Amino acid sequence: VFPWVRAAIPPACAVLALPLAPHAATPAPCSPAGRAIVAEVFYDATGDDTGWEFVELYNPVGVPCPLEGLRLEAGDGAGPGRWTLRWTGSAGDTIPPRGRFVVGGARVDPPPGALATLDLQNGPDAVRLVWPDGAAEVVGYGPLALAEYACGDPAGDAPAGQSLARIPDDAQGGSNALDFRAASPSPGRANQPARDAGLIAGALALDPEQPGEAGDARLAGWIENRGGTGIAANAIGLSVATRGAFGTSDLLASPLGDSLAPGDTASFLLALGRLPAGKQSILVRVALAGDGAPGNDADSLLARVGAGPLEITEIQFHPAGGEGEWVEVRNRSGVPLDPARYTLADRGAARGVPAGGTGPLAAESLAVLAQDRAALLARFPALDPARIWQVSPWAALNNANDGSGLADAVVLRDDDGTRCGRVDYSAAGVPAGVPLELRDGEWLPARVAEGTPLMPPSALPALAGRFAIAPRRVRAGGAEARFSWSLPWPRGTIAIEIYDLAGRRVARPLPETTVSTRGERAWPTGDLGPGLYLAVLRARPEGGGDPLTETVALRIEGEAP
Amino acid sequence: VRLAPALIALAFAGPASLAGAQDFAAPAPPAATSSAAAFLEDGLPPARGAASFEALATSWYGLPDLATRAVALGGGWRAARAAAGFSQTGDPELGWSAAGLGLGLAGPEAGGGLRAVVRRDRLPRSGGALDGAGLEVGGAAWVRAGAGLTVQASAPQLWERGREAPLGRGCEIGATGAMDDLAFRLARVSPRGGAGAARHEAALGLAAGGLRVWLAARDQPLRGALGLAARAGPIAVAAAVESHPVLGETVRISLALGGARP
Repeated sequence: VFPWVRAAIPPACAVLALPLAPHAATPAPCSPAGRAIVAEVFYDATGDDTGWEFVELYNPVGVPCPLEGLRLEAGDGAGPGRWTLRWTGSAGDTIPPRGRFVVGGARVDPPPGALATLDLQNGPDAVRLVWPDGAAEVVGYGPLALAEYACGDPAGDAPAGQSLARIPDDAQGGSNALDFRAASPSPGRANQPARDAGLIAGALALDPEQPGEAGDARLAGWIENRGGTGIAANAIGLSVATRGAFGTSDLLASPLGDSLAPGDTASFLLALGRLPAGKQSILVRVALAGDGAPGNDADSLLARVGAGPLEITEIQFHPAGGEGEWVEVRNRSGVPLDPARYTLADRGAARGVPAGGTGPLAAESLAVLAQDRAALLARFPALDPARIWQVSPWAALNNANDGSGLADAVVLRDDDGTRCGRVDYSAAGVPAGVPLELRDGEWLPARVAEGTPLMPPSALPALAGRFAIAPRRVRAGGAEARFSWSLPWPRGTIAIEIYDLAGRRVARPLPETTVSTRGERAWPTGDLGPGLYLAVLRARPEGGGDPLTETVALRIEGEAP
Repeated sequence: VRLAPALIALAFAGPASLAGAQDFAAPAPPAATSSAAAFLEDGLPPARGAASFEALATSWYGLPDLATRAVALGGGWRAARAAAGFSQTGDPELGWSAAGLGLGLAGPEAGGGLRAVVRRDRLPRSGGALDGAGLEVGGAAWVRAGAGLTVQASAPQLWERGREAPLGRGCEIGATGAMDDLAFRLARVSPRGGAGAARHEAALGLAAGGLRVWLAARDQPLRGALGLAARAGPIAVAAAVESHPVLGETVRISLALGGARP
C-alpha cells in the first residue's frame, strides 16, 4: 500500500538483535524486536508548547540503528485512522549502540538530532514509529477509546511540564501503561539512570507558609529514588539556600537519613530557623554521587517572610445593606503598587483577580476589593471609585464559625502565588452586618456599624483616666460592659480581673494581652451574680518599666427570689 | 459542761459563717464583746446592755467613689438587746443606703440575735418606692465556752428579698480567746451557696491600758491588717488598715461613745 512497505529492508540492528527476542512466557513487547524504540514523548510543555515538544528514540542493542525511512506519526485519538506524518528519517540519521536520537523543536535542550515541528496533541492521543518494512510501534496516552492508538492499555496522561518516559529505558511490559510514566523531561539522556535522586517537583512546602519576621520556619518536601539501584542512608545530601533582595544566603546542609530502594520516596522536614525578611526564593538541591540525572536535583519555592506590601485592614463578610462582601487593604510598602497584581481568596483554592480600579495605589492608601463594585459604590456613593476594585471570581466568605472556631480566611497573594497576607477570622460575637476591622493590632467588630471602607477605623474618644468601665451598672444575666484603657506607653501588656467586695477574684475577662495605648474590650458579664465588684487593670510597658494598677467599681443588679 | 451551749450555737449556725462585712463594718480588735455596729453587721448582740453610739467610715480599696459612712445606736434592758443604724455607701450611681435593726438576748455567758438590713439604691432606675430596694435577715449567736474562750456563729443573710446585697455573705464560725492582755480570733467563712472555697481569718491582739493593737491575716488572697483602738472614759476610737495584694488598702475608722469596755 505504501512505498516504504515494499522497499522495506530490515535494519542492521534488527538482524543482529534477533537472538535477543523475548521469551515466549514474557508479555509480547510493544516494540518490534531489534529496533530503536520510543523512549520519551514530551507533548505538553508548561505554557506554549511551541519548540519544546520532542520524541526520543533509544537504540537498546549493541549495533548502530539506521533511521532512514523511519516515519514518526502523530495520532488523533478522537477518531479512527487519524495518523499524520511528522518526521521521516533520512540517510544520515543513525542511532549508535545504546544511544539516543531526539526528534523535536528548536527550543529543546540539548538541540535534537532532527528538528521537526511535532505539534503533538495532549491526550488522549498517540505517536507511532513505522519502519520501512512495515513494523510499527505505537505509544498511546490518555483515555483512548480506539485500540489502534495504543499498545495494550494506554499510558497515563502526563501533566503539563512532564514527559511520558519509558522507565526503565528498555522496559517491555506488554503495554504502554506498564512501560511509560510521567517524569521530568530528559531529552538525550537516560530516563532512568542507574543512580538518580530527584526532588518531586512542586512538593516543597514552608511551614508556616508566611513566617513572621521573628518566627522560625520549617521546610518539607519529598525525594524519590528515580534510579535503577538502591541508595544507602545518608548518601543523599540536601542543601537549602534562600535568595531575595538581601542576596543569597545558605541556610543548611543535611544528609537524608533514609535508604531508598528504586522507586521509593522519602519525605524530609528541615528546620530552617529564622529566615531573612521579605520575599524570597527558597532553593533546595539534592546531591548524590554518580547521579545520572542532575536536572531533577533542584527545586525552589517562593515565599515571603513578614508582612507583605498589601495589608488586610477590614473585612465585611456579612453585609446587611446589599453592598456585597468587601475587603479593605492598605498599601504598606512605601511605594505605589498595582492592586491588579494581587489575588484574593478565601480558604478555598479559587483566586480572584482585582479589576476596575484606576491607577496604582499610593503608599499608605487604602483600597477596597469588592464582590460587587457597583453595589458597593451605590451603598457608599462618597467612595473614590478609582480605589474600588471588583474581584472575579469572588470567593464567598463564610458568616458562621465551623468546628475549628473560625468562620473563614481572607488570603492575599502576589500574582505569582506568593502569599502576601492572611487573616483567619471568627464570626463569634460580631453583630450582624458589622465588619471586622484591624484596630490596635487586633481584629474587632467595627465601631461604625456599616464599616469604614477607604477610611481608617474611627478613633476612640479620649479617656479621662487610665481605666474605665461603661456602663457602671448592668443587669445580671449576661449584660455587656465595656472596658476602656489609656496607657501612658505606646504599647503594653495588660490583664483585667474582677474582684468582689471581699477581695476575692471572681473573673478574669482579659488574660495578659499586648495592646496599644488606647483600647477597648467588651465583656459579657455572663453568670456573675449580683453584687458590687471591682475591675482591676494591671498593666506594664512593653520592654519593661514600672507597672500600673487601676481599679474601678462595677455594680451588677439582680433581685433575690 | 460549758461546751454544750457552744456546740448548740455551732449547730444553729448551720454551715458556719462569719462573713465579710459591708454596711456596718467596724474596726474591731479580737475580743469577746461586740458593739452595736457588730450587732447590726453580724447579728451578734453585745454581752452588756450599756447604751452606745458609734460613727463609722470605711474607704474600700482606696476608691474615692466607694466609701461607707454609718452610724449605729445600741442599748439593752436586762437581757434584751437592740441596735439600729443607718449607712450609706458609694456614689449616687453605684451606691446604696441601708437601715439596720438588731434584736436579741444576751448575758455574760451567751447571746443570740437577729439582724435585718433594708437597702435601697441611691439612684433607683424607675424612682418607684420599692425600686432598687432589698431586705436581708440573718442571725447569730455566741457563747462563752470557758477558759476565756468564746465561740461565735453567724448567718447574716439567711433570707433575702428584692435587690440582692452588694456582697453575698456566707455563714461564719469563729472563736475568740483571751489570756490576760492577749486575745486572738480565728474564723472560717463559708462561700455563699457553697460555691468556691472557704475563707479563713486569724487575728492576734494585745492590750495595754486603754490601748489595743492587733494584727490580722486573711486568705483568698492572702492579706494582712493592722488595727489600733483606744478608749478614754466613754470615748473610744479605732482604726484598721487591711492591705490587699492587688486592690490596695481598705481603711476603717470608728468613734464610739458609751458601750462596754473591752
